[in-house]
Amino acid sequence: MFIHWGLREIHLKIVYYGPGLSGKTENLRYIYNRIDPKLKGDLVMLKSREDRTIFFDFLQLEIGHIDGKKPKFNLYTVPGQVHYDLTRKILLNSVDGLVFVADSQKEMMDSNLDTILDLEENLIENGKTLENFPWVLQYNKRDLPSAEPIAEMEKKLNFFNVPFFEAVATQGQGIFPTLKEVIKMVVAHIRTRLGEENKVKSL
Amino acid sequence: MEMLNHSKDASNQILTRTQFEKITDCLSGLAEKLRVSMILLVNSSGQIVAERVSSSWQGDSTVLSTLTASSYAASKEMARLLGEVSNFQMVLYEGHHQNMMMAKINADFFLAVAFEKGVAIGMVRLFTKKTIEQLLPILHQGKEDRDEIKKIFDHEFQNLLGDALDRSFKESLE
Repeated sequence: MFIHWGLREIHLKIVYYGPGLSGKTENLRYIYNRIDPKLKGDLVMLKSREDRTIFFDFLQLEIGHIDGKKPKFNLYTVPGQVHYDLTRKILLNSVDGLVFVADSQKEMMDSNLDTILDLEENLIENGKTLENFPWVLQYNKRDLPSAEPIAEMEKKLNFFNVPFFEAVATQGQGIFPTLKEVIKMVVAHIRTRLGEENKVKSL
Repeated sequence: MEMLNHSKDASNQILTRTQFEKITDCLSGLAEKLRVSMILLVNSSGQIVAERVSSSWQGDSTVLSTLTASSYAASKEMARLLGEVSNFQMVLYEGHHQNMMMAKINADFFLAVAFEKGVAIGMVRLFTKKTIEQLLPILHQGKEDRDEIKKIFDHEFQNLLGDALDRSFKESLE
C-alpha cells in the first residue's frame, strides 16, 4: 500500500498468481478490453518470443474519487513457468492482495497445488502467509470437458476456505466478480489489521 | 496529518503534502542543472512518488515507473548473485538518443533520470548524487501514524468503495 497524500491517491497492489497457462494474462486482457477507457492505463505485457509471460503483465485501474480520495489498483500477473521463481518473488514485494488462478483441468491439479505451495513459500519470505492474507481462488477453464468438479478442487486447493469463483477467462466469465472481491478483502484486511494493532497498543 | 517515512516492511508508505512539495523542489533543481527528459522518484513497488518531465516527453510515466521498479528489483538480485550486499548504486541504460540512469536512494526508493545523449554522464552522476543527499532526510522525516491510515480506510470509505466497484464493473459488463 502506498498513500500519496499530496495527490490524495491510494495505491494498492494486486497480483494474479497461478501455474503456467492457467489464464492470468487472460484476466488482465479481459479487464483491459472491457473497462471504461477513462479508468485504465496501458496494458503492459512483457512476453517471450513464444508469447509467454517472461516478467509480468501490468494494468493500472481507477474507479474515480471516493470520499475525496483516489484509489488506484495496480494489477500484476506473474510468469507461471517454474523457472521464473525469482521473478515471482520480486513481484510479491509489497503485495496487498492475491488472486490465485487455478487451471480446472484434472491433469493440472498437481501443478495447481505445487504453485500454491510455491506462493506460500514466497509469501513467507515477504513476511506474509496465505493463512492470514486477503486472497481469492479463481477456478478457471470451467468450460473444458476435463474440468475437475468444484467440490474436488475445493478439497484439494482451498485449505483456508477463502472465497472462490468459477471462471471462463476467455469469455470474461467470473473475471470482474473475482477482482471486486479481492479489492474488498484488501480494504477489510487493512481495517482489521489496524484495529488489531490498536487493541494491542491499548493492552 | 503526521508524516510517515518508509516502514520496516516497505509495504505501507504514506507521503505527505509537505514531503511531496519538498521532493518536487529537489527534482526541479536537478532538472534545471541537466537537460533531462524525465525524472521519476519511484518506490520499490513501482509507484511514482514525484516526477518532473520535459514538455517534449510524451511517454507514460506510470508504465515507465512500473518497468523501472521491476528492472531495479531484478538488478538487486543480479547484485546479490555477484556478491554485492545491496543493490547497485547506479544502473545505466545507453541509447542512441537518450540515456537513462537509475540511482538508489535507500532500500525503498530510487530515482530514474532520462537525459539527452549529449549530456555528460559524469555530470548526471554528480548532480543525481547531490539530489539524493537532499532527498534522504525528506524521505526519512516524520513517523508512522497508523491512526491516520485508519481514518483514510474508515467505514464510510469501505462502503463507498463497494458502491464504486459495483458501478464501474457493472458498466464494464454491459
